[in-house]
Amino acid sequence: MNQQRTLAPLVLPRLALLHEVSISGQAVSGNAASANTSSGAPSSSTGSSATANAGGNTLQVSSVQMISDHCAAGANPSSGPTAGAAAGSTTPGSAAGESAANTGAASSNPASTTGTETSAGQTAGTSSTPMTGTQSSATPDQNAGAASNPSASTSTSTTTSDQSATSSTGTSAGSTSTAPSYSQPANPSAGSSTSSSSTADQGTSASAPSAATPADQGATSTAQGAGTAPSDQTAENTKSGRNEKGNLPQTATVLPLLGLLGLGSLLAGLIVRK
Amino acid sequence: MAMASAHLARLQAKLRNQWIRSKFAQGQNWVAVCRARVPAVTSAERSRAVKQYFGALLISLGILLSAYVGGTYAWMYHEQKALLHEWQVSNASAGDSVVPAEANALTRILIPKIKLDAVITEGTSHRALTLGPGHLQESAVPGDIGNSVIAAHRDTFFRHIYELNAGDDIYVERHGKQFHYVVTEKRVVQPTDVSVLDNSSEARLTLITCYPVYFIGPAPERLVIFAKLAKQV
Repeated sequence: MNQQRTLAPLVLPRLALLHEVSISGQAVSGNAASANTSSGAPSSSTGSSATANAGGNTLQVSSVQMISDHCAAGANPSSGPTAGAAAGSTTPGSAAGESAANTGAASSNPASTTGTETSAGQTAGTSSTPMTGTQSSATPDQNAGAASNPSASTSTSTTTSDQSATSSTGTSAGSTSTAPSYSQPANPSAGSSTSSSSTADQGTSASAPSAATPADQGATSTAQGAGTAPSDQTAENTKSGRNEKGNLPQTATVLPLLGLLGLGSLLAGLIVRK
Repeated sequence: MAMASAHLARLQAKLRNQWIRSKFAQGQNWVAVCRARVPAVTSAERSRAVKQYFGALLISLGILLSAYVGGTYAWMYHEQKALLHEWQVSNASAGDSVVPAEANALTRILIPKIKLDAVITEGTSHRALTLGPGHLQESAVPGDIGNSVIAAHRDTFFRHIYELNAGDDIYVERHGKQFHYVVTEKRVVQPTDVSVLDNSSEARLTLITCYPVYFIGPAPERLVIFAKLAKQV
């Protein structure tokens, strides 16, 4: 049964800024994939996560959506299912730059799991094992999922990785060192050799599904990461400029007062001496 | 205080010797004289000594403060002379050079009515305003389109700008060009009223100083003179 799910948005802390990633997918086999959501604080390592049963419950990731307060929107709404990964809305609740398939997930609250997505052209042979935010707990699940489902030769993992330590395709989607990142199905034959910072993920290689191409997501997420810093810096500069313009220039000086005091002291001293 | 104590001790010893000599002169027993208590210094004498040293202290403080204030004004005068010389050198070579106007930051302001002739410094920091009128860095360059804001102390350069009225002339010379501004408005605003810094679509000049002009201490208000560009030579 194909159940369309929107996994929970992942709250990715990055320098005290909330980065939220919403992973949406479709259950393709077994029971319905369960999605556990939790909104994590920026300091906490556990963000929203989606767990899939390793015993055959798989969820095919159709799109990854970047929802963040401070990430610039660099999305192409008409880029298909992968456009959701590129969509970085400037406000948590906005759905700017999202594809039509991701509209429901984008407009939802980051902590909610509502929203149904349709990802056309997705193959059922893909297994998705989104994991909890911590990397240590994520790795065994992913390995188990890949091993228990040989037919589903693709494993999609959500691991923790630093953005600076991302792979060549940049699949971190603006994540931070302590935040869970999104790792797409690896497809060496397709030339999109995605690899997360998790060592277990690097070991898994399989045929990638046609939908949700990792290369596109990686490229768009890299664009997101590149566009975030200047916008933040500009905002800070603007804020500091406003602070500086809080008052008119201070044109008062104490020199006349000091001069008067000096002259007064001099005269008073002379009078007292007499 | 140490000097005062020493002086009092010397005065006391002197009085004691005088008293002992007077007692010997009167024929008294010298042992009884030496055992007798020395009379204390009178309060009048003590207050006089205190006044002497307090007066010296006041004179010293007055000299120090006057020297500091006079030195600061002398330094300002010297720096203005140096800036004026630098401006003349750069302004003379401005016609031949291809350096953009922004690279030449020295600007001269002349207000004939109040006999103001000063070179504008960049920024409104304490040092910049001590040296001369300061150009607000976020505002437009004098002569360009926009609101160019210049601030100065009321006790030095802008002491008499309150005498300016609508129609008075202000000249700004920069990079070989002279800009003729005409005063349009004079207003007293609060220090928090930053609307006078707003940019404009035309070339404007805004002069800011403290108000009241003869206020002792930090003045609570600001006197703002608005002028618009009338002619560029």
